[in-house]
Amino acid sequence: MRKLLIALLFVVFTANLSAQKNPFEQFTEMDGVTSVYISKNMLSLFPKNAKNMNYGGIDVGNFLHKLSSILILTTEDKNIGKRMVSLANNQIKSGNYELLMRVKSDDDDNVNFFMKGKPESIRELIMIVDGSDDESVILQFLGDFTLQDIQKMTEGFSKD
Amino acid sequence: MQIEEIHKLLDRFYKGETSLDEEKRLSDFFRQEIVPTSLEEDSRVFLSFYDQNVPIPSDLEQRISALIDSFDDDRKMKSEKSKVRRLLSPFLVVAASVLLVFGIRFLVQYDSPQPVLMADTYQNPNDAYRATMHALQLFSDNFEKGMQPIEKAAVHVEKTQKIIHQTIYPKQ
Repeated sequence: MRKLLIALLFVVFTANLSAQKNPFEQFTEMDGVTSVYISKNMLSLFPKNAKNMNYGGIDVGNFLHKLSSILILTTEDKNIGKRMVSLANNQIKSGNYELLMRVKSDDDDNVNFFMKGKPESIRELIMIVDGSDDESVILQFLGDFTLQDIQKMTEGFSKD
Repeated sequence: MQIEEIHKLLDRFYKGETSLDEEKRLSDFFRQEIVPTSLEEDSRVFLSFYDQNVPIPSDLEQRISALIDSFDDDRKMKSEKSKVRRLLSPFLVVAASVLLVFGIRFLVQYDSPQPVLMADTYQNPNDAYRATMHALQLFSDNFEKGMQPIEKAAVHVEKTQKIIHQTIYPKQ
């Protein structure tokens, strides 16, 4: 009986979790944070195989069509940026994300890449730029893509 | 028999100290002799204990067994009821738990605002496209910053491997 009850509770509350909204949606409400959200519908309106989708010989559209949404959060305010980044890091800690890469650039920007899922099936990719002096950015890609898709895409952009 | 003796015996009888013999004597006295008025009350009490001729209702046994049977029936009915309850209770418990859980869930959902689908920032695909490309460029720049050292390291590793390979297997 108790097992049944526990199972029921589990089902109900995980169902509740899955119905939860994007954990980063709360940041769109933050004062001083500029947010850009691009839905799957909007992504599908992008011209397929257009000339300008080709970066460094790589068709970026291929990657875009594997995404279900893009969320971009930016702020130029130092304090707001700090708060946004620390809140995002909390979200990452509690959200079972995996650190993909950590980059510390020459201009003292800390950039962390996190992912959810397996390398051959990434469901969520997050980039958090902790700009100590300038812009802080959170970039979130939702969808189903591979680490290779990302590598190809970034190669294309860096060649361009 | 002296009245006084009877009085003494009665006193002892009421105290519960009389022997069977003495009780027989008392009983004989009350039965056979004309009891003086002072002892009438005692006579009635005593005889009610010792009168052998108390009529026993002929259906006494039947009534007793019927009564016992009715107790038994009562118990059977009770056990049948509890059997029903025992069979019912798991379902009741499950039903109650399901109700409870869904009730809680309903409350939780009711409390938390319904998830609203995030609205597109741009209505124009071209603007959205530009923003997306900008985001991808930013992402790539940072990603490549991380990848470059790895690629450089990979080149070095490759070079080192070549040198090691040449050292171990020199061309003849």
